[in-house]
Amino acid sequence: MEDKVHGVFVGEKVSKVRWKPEDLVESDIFLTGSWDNEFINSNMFVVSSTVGSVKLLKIDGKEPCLAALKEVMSWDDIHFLSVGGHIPCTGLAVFEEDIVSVGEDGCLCLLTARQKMPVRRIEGADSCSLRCVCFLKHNEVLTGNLRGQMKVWDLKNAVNKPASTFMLSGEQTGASCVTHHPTQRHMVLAGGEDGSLTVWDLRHHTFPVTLLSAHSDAVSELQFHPDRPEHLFTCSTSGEIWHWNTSSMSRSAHLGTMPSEFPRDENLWLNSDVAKHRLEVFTLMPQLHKPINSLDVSKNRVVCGCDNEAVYVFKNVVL
Amino acid sequence: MNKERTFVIPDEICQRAGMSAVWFPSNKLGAHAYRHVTAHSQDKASEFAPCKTLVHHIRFDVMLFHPITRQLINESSGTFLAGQKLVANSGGTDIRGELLKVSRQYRAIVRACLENLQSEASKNDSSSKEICLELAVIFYNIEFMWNLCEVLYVDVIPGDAVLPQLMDWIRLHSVHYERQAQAILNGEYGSSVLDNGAENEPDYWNTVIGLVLQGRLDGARALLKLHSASLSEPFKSVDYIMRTMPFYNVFGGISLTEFNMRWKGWQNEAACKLQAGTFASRKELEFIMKLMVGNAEAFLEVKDQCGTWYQFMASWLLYTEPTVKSFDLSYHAHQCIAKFGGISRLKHSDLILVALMESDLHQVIRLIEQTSENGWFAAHLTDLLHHCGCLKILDNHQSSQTASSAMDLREQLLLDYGTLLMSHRSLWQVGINYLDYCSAEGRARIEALLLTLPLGSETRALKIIQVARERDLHHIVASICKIMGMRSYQQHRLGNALTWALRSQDAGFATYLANKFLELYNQEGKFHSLDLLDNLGSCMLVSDRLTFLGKYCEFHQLYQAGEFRDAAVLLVSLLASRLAPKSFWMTLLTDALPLLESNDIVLTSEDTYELLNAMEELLGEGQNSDIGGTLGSDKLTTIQDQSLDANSLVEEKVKLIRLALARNLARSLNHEGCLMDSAQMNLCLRS
Repeated sequence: MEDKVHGVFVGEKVSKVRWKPEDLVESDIFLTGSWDNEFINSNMFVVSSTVGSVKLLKIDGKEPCLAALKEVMSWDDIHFLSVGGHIPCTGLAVFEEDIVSVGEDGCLCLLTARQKMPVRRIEGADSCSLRCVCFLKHNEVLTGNLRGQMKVWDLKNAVNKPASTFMLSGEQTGASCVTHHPTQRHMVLAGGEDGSLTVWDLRHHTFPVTLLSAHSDAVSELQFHPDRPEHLFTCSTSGEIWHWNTSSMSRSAHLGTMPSEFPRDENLWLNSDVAKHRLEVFTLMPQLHKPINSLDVSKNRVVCGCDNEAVYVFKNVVL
Repeated sequence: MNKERTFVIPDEICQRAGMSAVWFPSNKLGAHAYRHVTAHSQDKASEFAPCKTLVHHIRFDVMLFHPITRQLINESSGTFLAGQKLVANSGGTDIRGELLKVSRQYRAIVRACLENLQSEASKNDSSSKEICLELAVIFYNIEFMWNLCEVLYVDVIPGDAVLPQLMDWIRLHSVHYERQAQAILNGEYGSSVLDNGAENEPDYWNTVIGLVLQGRLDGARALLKLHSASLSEPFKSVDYIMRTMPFYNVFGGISLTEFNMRWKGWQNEAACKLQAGTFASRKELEFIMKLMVGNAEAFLEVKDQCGTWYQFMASWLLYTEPTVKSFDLSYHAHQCIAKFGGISRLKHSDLILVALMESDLHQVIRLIEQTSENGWFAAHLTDLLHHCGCLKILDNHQSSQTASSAMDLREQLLLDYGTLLMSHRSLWQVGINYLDYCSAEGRARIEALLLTLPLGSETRALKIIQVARERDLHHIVASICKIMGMRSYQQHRLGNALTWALRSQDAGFATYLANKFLELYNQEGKFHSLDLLDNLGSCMLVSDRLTFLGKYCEFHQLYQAGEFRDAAVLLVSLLASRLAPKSFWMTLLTDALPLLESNDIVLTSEDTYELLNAMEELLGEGQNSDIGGTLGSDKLTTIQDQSLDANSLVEEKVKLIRLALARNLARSLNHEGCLMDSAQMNLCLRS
């Protein structure tokens, strides 16, 4: 395992990491920051900060080490309160050139990469701080708040009300991160502050399809592998980073049933067997004594950034 | 450390009026202008007002927080924790081998840091060049001393023959001769008389002697082979002697006594050859041989070449007493120091080395504390030594100290280091790790210091809460939740404030906020944060007022959904159970109006009696209470300020409600009477 893991200590707390997306080649470059970073296309990325502004930066130059970050556009103070001033922006989601940002003021802001003014601002989207956001479709966004209330917003609709709402769990566990399945957008996975993982089918969302109590502390980030969606990676504030592999389930299921009975695109996560025993979970590295704040996946490499101010890269992750 | 330093604070008012300062958490001073007032000063307005005053925050500049050494802090904290876990899991078995690995890891971390510092300092445009160089020097010394400490105290050497490790230590830190030898070897020198011999190199003999002093005999032999006369007799003899010098190896399989015998035999043989005049033709070779047989005068001549007293001592011991034991080192150390000018000429780091050799670990730690890297070295080294059991042994000799003084020392150093880290905005998490392992005072310090951390964003607050919760510090969790809640409240975000209150199950705060919600409803006629209130779930049970609020929202929900019967039942239960605050009853009764007036009979006679009861109770004390006033305020002025309009409005409402109640009572009694009649009739018919 030693040569697969390469750790480097950087001199600051890493709260987000992202691979620079390359089309064919494995990314060699990743960004770390104490802000929230998201890539729009392979050269531009959006950064949000705790003073409530969002900036679009571009990586200049061919050489990765000498790359300078040039600010292309900046939306300042999009999260702002009349009393209290700047409010941290807690989450960003990107879909092609549209950016959605949510903040502690409970405000949802829609921006587009080409325009200086925000396209739309939904103030008071939530009475509590919003903690996470993800795009479901081009015009649909899912947000989660401090109390675990998830709301689906239809951005085409001019009314400032969520299309639907559901609670993450009976108690007030906050939603710490949310992600959608890469191919089946109606399936959403949310991580909670108590370390639980809930799987939701947005078509009928009164109860979660599956509830797994996974980590011992809040799940800080969830990511599906973009090309191989039966692999999920999660990291938590208890210092654990796990790789969930459902590919063995799909193999055994195919063997046991007739092809016609088993719809090929049935999502294994929605299958309740997942909760029982057919899931393999690997831990990518021994438990760290500090929270792991963020991870990102690209081809067969995973990078994660932690509160012990180090960044770890795992190469050749078995898929 | 002894000189006083003066700092000037650029503040005009301070200059004119005087200054005072106050300590606040994490070793910071707040200085501000101050004019001292006594009982005898005149009681008048200050002559400086109005003016702009400032409070200056002053703190110590901690060198260790430099970006490069910050990596050292983090990495070494990982090693520290690994060490503690090791000790905890060992269960009494000997873990010296593992602790040696930990020690080596620390040293590797220091060396990595050193490399980074040096590369940073070598960049021309580096802004912190001086600091980097200073830190590089400090950490070089640290690694040097740590190495010796490891050799003497952490590593368990069978037979206590420390010389081989000592030689390794010296060789690791003085590579000058090796480099020179390398340079010479890389040159092109032949080994016959006709070729150009290496002895024409200016530093040739110096290098050979230097290599011999460090015991690098292979290198010396290689160099000698490059001498133009290397095939002659004296050279061959020297080569033979060098080749056959025995070096002690722990795993060599021979005992110390046997090694001693062999070594003495070897040295005797060499001495005989020397006396026989084999090397008379070559003065340099003779000199080298004298060194190798431990001739004191020869050694005095090379004193300067050795550089420092410890290198001299090592070389001397190599050729006089190769199986020296660690406890004999201090005698030899003092002898060598005397040759180098005595104790008074020693530098601070030399004193530490002497103390190490004298096994005076307390003195070592005392001296280390005075180095200026903010306690990193002292804390980690003491912790390691404590776990090796080295500090405990010493306590038996100190009659005046208790048996736990070793632990106290270690704990004190860790406390200091941990507290220092807590004063940093980001490194507090690392500090907590250290304070965790201070069994006596650690927990109390964590409690005190956690509350001094500035709460920035919610993410940060949540992290601090997580840390507190892991350590069962529930009052701190409650405290932080309250601060975050109040902050949200001041930003007029009631929903968020309520979330924080519920998070810590804070009944008092929840009640306060629920009252605020109700007040706002009274003022504006609609609820704020409806998405929160509609979904309170079981959390509303935290406080009665909140339960009422939640249920009242539910009532509105039911009403809007058209479930009038359920809504009515809920409304009546709210009044009947006296869950609703008195001041809100009027609103509830007003809400009941449409239900009373609806075409279907929604409220039974029982319900109506309840409502009547409530009405009477409310009006009974109505003379003195402000029925139409705002919730929670019972100032008498508001009653007097109520205009006649307001009063008449209230009277109108009361009349309407009374009328509606009476009508509903009539209807329901009628309806129930019919039901009862028909039921009785059914009974009669059957019987």
